[in-house]
Amino acid sequence: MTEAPLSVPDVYASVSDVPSAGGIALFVGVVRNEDEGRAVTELGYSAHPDVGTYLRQVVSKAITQYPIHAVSAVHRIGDLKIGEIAVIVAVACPRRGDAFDACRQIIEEIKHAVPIWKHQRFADGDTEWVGAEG
Amino acid sequence: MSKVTIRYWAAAKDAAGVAEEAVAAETLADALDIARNRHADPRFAPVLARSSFLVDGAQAGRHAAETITLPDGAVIEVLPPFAGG
Repeated sequence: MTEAPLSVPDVYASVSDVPSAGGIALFVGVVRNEDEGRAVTELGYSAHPDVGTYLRQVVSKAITQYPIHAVSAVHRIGDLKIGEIAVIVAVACPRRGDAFDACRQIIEEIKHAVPIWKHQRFADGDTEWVGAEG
Repeated sequence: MSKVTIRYWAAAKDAAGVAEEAVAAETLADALDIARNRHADPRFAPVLARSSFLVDGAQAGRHAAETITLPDGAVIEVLPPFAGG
């Protein structure tokens, strides 16, 4: 978890120096300019102080289920503009199938099992906590 | 009655209008009932209904609030649905 801008090259470098890995899957989540048809201007991410523990649990679980030889998962918090990177997951496995599957599992579980919250500001000035309101 | 603290995060904090508050309650269900009665903001009850809870850092589960007794000084944390990524 970091408030600093995320770097794809840095994350890629952290998993790419592994001779036993034949496939690296990289997922990059960026801030989109609309949500359910409404124009979004800004997103604010916040997190529980124990978020690192939850994130490590998600990654550890994937490590027990897939032949992961290197993995990195980073999420940004704070106010992000359209197009900025919110999350990067990189997984290196011997073969591509496992790399894709493990990467997919980690990003899905980050969305559902890690205490991160998203506050959306729309072009019309309205705001909403994503997923928390009716 | 135990004196406990309820700590609100994100949407729950906005709807409650406070980051935390003290209540006297025997169980998690009691504490949440007191909180619901205390906060008039129409966003509060729906957010609470969608939230999960920690009691002293342990996940409480969504359906057994009546069975979770609170020791004196316990901290309840209200976690709205997660929305990372």
